Amino acid sequence: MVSAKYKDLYISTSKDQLNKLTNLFLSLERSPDNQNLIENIFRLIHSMKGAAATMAYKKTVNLFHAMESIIDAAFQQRLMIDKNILELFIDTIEVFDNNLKSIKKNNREINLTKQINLLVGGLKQRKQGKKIKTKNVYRQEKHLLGSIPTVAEISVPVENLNRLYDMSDDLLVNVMETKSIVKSLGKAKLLSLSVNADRIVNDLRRELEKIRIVPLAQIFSSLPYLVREIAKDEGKNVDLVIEDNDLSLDKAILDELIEILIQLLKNAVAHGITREQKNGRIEVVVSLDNDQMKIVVKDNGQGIDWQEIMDMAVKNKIISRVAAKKLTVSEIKNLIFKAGISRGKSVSISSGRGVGLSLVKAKVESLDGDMLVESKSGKGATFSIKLPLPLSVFRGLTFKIADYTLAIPLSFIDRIIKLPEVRDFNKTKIFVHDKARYKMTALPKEMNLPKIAALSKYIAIIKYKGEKLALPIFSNINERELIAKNTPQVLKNLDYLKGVAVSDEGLPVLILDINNLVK
Amino acid sequence: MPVKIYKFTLFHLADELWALPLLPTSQFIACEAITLIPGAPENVLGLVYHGGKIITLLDTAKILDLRVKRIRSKNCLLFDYQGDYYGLEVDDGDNTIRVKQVFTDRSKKKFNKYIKVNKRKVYILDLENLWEQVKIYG
Repeated sequence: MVSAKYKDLYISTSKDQLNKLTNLFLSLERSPDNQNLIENIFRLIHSMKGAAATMAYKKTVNLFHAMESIIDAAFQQRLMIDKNILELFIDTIEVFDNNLKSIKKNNREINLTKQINLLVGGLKQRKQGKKIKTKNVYRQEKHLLGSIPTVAEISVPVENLNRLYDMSDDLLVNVMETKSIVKSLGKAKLLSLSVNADRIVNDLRRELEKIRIVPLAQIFSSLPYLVREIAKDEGKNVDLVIEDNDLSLDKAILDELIEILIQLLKNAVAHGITREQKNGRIEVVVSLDNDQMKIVVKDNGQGIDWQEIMDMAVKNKIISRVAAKKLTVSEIKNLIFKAGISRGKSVSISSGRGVGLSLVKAKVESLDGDMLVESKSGKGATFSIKLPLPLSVFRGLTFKIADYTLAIPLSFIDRIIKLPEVRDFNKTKIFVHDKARYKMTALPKEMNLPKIAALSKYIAIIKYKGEKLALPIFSNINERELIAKNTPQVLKNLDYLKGVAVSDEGLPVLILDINNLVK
Repeated sequence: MPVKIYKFTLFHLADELWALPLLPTSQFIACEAITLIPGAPENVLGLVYHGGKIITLLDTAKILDLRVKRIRSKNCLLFDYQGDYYGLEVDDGDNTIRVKQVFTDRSKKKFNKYIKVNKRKVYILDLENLWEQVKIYG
């Protein structure tokens, strides 16, 4: 089952792809036998088909499949793209655009049968027609993208971005030094210019930080499709549930993370879920835990037989029989991360668990992270990964209480209720609103907040582990993007604060610890 | 025989010159927008963001027990310690200095080490004494 929140992402991505496709068709109109263009169109349509399949939009999948068949025939030189076919494609783009609108508005696809039949019919007619002359068809262009009129996005290697970031640091240091010299000169105009330069460099740094950050949903959207494909190959029935808590992550880390996740998902489908299972289910949950990002991949499969793992380790000479008997529980669990543990198993499928897991573990450790496994035979397996957070962005609700600016991650907020008048919730235990009853919670006494802060005009309904709690909040309430930073030692000593983030104004904002609040 | 050289960053606070052992990241910065921390130790002023870093701003006058009336400054001396960044609130920055000798003033119980700059005693804000005053570590 794909979360409904991916719908918006699917629509926005599809619209971008649709624009690209239109441009490609327009380019193809000018050079209908350009094989590179045809190949790119095929890839784009294939990708759009995959995205539709991920969202379980069957009619859309069939539509793209029909388009894909025509393009494939053109690529195989069994069909020449002519004006009629191009017109058919442009019509199809319009139909697909209407389809997207319907999905957005009504949450369902429109009837695409007529358009699909037109595409299928078009293909049949041309196959029965004249044989295509293949002379000069293979005119390869060295710079394919040069023939595409618009470029919507470019890829930049992360190393280049890092270099840019380092250079912005140097620039900042120089600007600061200049500012110091200018200050000693006492020239107001120069000082004003250097202050401006300082601000611009700081803005530049913030923009660079933003470039590196990508929403998890954007990358994770391909995972359900991947799992479905692997499961299909394995003849298994597997449902993937993703809970990303609206988090974003530094692109460099995310690229590594996706490799880790793909390997764990392959393992879960190939080795965790059995063919006999009709309710195969894998959960991927990503959340923030102190200064770290926690990634949990949990399956409801057959689990891990630790005795079998130990036997395999002995058989493959990873450990001696004598040493195996002295292993602690955690040492036994660590064996699964040793390379070659699965060599003894017949591996005909997507992944060899041992080798894959040793690579996964190495990758996690290279990111200064940690990885654990919990499993009982017959009760599934849970792999938990913790990664440090160098540059993570999340949306948060910020508010002021007395002189303090605090934030709660938006993923914990159900809604904000505005009260008709300021109220004192000091002695209130249950908050009633629209016939719903919520248990009141308050900011901890250890925070030594002034008593006047008990007066509130807003209530935040916090969702936490199935419960909904009412928290009175105060002034300057905003929803904003926050960049999580490493928690300084001074905050680690304060249980009620989870950490610190930086607001878009470049101000530190204290993050409340919901666990502590709920207690 | 090689002579040990001590390096310090000098700063002004409450009309006095003070010295902080030179650390690789030592620099003077402006600390304007301070985020206050509820329940923080009394000599912690709050947090500031600067150049991608979160800096814990320390009340230097309180740490040094300087009971003089002064206007809160917007300058601070940045340094890092165990992976965290700290800022000492100072009135103004000064030079970096190299000295060959560090003296001890036995009449003082804390921050009793000093160096001589132009024949003046300049007391050192050493990290050991600093963390004894600011209850962040241990």
